[in-house]
Amino acid sequence: MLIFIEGGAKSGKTSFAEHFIQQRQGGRKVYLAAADPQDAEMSRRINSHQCKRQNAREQWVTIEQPYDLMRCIEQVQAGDHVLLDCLTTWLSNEMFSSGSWHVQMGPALMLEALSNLQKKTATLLVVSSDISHQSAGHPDMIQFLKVQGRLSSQIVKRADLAGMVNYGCLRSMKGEWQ
Amino acid sequence: MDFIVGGTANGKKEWAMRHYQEKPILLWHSFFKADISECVLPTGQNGVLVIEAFDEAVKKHLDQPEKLQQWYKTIRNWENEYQDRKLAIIGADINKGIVPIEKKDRQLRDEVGLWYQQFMKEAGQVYEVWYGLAVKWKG
Repeated sequence: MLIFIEGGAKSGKTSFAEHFIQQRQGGRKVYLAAADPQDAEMSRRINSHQCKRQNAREQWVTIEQPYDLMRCIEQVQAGDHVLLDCLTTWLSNEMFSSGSWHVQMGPALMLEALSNLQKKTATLLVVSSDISHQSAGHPDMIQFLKVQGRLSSQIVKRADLAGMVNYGCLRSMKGEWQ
Repeated sequence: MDFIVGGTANGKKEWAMRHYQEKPILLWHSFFKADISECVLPTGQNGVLVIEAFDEAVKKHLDQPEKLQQWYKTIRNWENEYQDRKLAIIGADINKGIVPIEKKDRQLRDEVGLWYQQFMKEAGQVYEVWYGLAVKWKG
């Protein structure tokens, strides 16, 4: 099952996604973290998320993979329920940190990695940040918005469930959420 | 008139192409590619005139908004000449996020917001496209 959730900063999207994954029956609960602690602020954010996950009903298995998600496919097991947090950070790492971003192939490779993860797992829930409703002046930003928009459209097209989270509440856009 | 709005690269164009596939598209004018002066209004009496990237039109005419307002009246009149004509305007929602640093960008954001309020009032149908999925706001 593929699920896509989008929300703004501190919208509660990750908490919602964590709760959703924790409710799934059986299988490991896997937190696939794309965030890379490049500075003190990001380290604090990561630490805050880690502390929250420690109080979970079922223990999380954390995999840290900032880019090239195919590298972690061996760490994922059949029947896992995976929360990928988040698409925006992953794309940012691929485009600006990996050193191997290819304009044509980059998005296709990301979709292929998602497809392989989805095939191997019971649930793959992709969390994403809502960044597409703003004006952009810098060419890198315009390019980033375009790639993220197209990637998100492709993921929503393939997803069984899709929705937005605002203020901790879900607005369903696709599928029957329980 | 239909108004189709949504975030950048959210699949608005693709959605519109699917939505209007039953009707003849008389002209698809994209402001990504051309300005007002290159838009020759079609003479057909039955079909759709699609105006893509209206936010880009606002950007192009930021210093002379009267010209765009006049042109908007022209395309509305074109639509009203025959019952089976339809005007469909597509625009990107650029009105959220942090306040832009550049004055021109702030001006653009405000102008686009005002245009979209007008479209919301005047359109028969309004759709918001979110990654290829549409939510009907009006009609």
